Amino acid sequence: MAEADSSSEELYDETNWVLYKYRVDWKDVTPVPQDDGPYPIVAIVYSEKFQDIYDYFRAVLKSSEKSERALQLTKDALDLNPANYTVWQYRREILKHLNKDLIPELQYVKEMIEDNPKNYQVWHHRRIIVEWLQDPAYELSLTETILSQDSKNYHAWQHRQWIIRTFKLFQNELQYVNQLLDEDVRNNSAWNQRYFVINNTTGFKPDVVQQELMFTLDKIKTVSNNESAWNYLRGVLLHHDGGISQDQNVRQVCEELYSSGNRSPFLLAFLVDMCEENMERDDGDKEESLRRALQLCDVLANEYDTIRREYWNYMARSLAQRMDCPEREATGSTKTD
Amino acid sequence: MPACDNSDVLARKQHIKYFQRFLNLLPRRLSSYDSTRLTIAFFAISGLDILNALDVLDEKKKRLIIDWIYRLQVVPDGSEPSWKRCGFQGSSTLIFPPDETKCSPLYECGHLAMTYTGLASLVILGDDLSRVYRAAIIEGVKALQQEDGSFCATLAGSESDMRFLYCAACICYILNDWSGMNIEKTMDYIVRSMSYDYGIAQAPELESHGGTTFCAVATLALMNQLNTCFTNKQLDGLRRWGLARQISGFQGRPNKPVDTCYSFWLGAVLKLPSISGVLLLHLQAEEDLFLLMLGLSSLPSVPLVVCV
Repeated sequence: MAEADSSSEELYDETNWVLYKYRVDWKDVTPVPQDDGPYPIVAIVYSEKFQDIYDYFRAVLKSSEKSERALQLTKDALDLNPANYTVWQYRREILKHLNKDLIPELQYVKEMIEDNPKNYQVWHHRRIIVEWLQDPAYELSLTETILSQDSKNYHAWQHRQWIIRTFKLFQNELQYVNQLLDEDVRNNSAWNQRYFVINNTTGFKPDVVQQELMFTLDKIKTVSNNESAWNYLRGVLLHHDGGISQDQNVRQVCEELYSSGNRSPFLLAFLVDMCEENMERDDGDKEESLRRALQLCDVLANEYDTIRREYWNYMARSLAQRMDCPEREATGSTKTD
Repeated sequence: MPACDNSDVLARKQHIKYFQRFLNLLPRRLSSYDSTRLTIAFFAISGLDILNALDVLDEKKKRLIIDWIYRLQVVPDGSEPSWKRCGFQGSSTLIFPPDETKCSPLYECGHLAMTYTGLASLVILGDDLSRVYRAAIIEGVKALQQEDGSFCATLAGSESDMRFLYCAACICYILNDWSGMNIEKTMDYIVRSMSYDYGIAQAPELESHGGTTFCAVATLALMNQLNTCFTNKQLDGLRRWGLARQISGFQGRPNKPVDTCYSFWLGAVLKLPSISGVLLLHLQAEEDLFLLMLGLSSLPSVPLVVCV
């Protein structure tokens, strides 16, 4: 729909479409051509149909006509360019003016979303209509449908979070997240949604932190080379008093993976960061932690994460320098941690 | 992925022709860019500039383009409230012939992405911005900032998020006037939009993303606030998140495929001095992918256009 093939559009024109300028019920309206100036650039080779519709849209805008036929005109205009935010805005004005039943409008936007799932304007329109209705009844199902076609569609997730937050519909969301993670444990959007749900319901209190760590470690043991799971693990540990290196279960799983020969760069990076934390602790063996960290940075740079070789060499230098001058800042921030 | 041999070079002449072609005409199948033609113009003009080929446009052509851009400016009508609508439109879709009565002023208003790309294009073309209604445009920017610190695109109504926050920052920077932006609220929105993984999302609690990370970080850089906004831990995390996006080229989010546009979004983030004091990018893999993608894609990667 968004990228209509021009030849099929012309075929349709020939067989079915009547230009507005030939319509009897529009003969009272004078179309308004676009004024592109004497020297247009990036000039679009509009089809006759496109030009005709938008000449009439300009006319309707000029006279502020807010009628049923104007509403249909906006639909035709949006079929040709669903990204025209002014047409969407004017459509909303007409809907309000005519006090239209918004349920059919929801159906219309649903179809537009299905045809243009990455278009900002259709999702914004949906949100406005739902705000007017103050009814989220169809929204979880709509976003679920879109996510079943593209499980990472950013607009769908954004709309879904807004619905859940606004109408307090958290109750089944963790279950939905789990279903998505069962389908694809690497779905970063699903992991993000998990954090969103917990943050806004139970919060990351100690027993929840434990439960989430166990959940995530389990996923890591199944598929260890999954950045999303490791990022989530670290996210959960932001709420742990001991940082990333003090939880027994986390340490155990990491050491077991490592000694079984696992060299996922995410595991190794995690171990580096654990060593770094140990170096900062008063009770740790700083020398041993540094030695291990440097060894890990070395294998990351030269064997397991070579594309980030420069970074791991930089990390190694930073850690070594910090050992010599602990008060020296690694980066230049003036904001306190 | 096939390796590129050392004789592969950028097809400079062809890219120049490509940008010139789109600067003149867009084919029918790109009618959905009807409201955003100014951003396409910006990509063509800045593309030529990057290729050091602006001279394919002679002085007369540059002037004609500049005049076309200025026609898109929404100017004050004499009343102060009208200043809120000021800025640039994306195209002449809502410009009526001079003998027609103007349409309802509600619909003739600036759009932040168009104002930004319009001003940037004028600057690249060597215009002195003397025909820009600076104060009115800044009022227009101010009118679009939301309570939470983010920005809407246009007074006629739109979503609000990190993209337009960046556009607003660019406008303030180009006009050297930050009075239209509540800097504290802007920074607060950015900080709240940092995810648990240290990447930055479109809005608080959403998934961190390469494009929005650029928008946020570039805004802070333009405001000279990168080092005051984030702690060292956050900057370190941001750096590592950004670097982790490189597979060969760059991806926008973890576990997603790479795309050329992210070479820009993430490349730009990682080049900023606060983020990368040393060259941390693995360039050869990046270059290989970039050359391959240029050959395969039929459109230049135009993320801002696709995303408005």
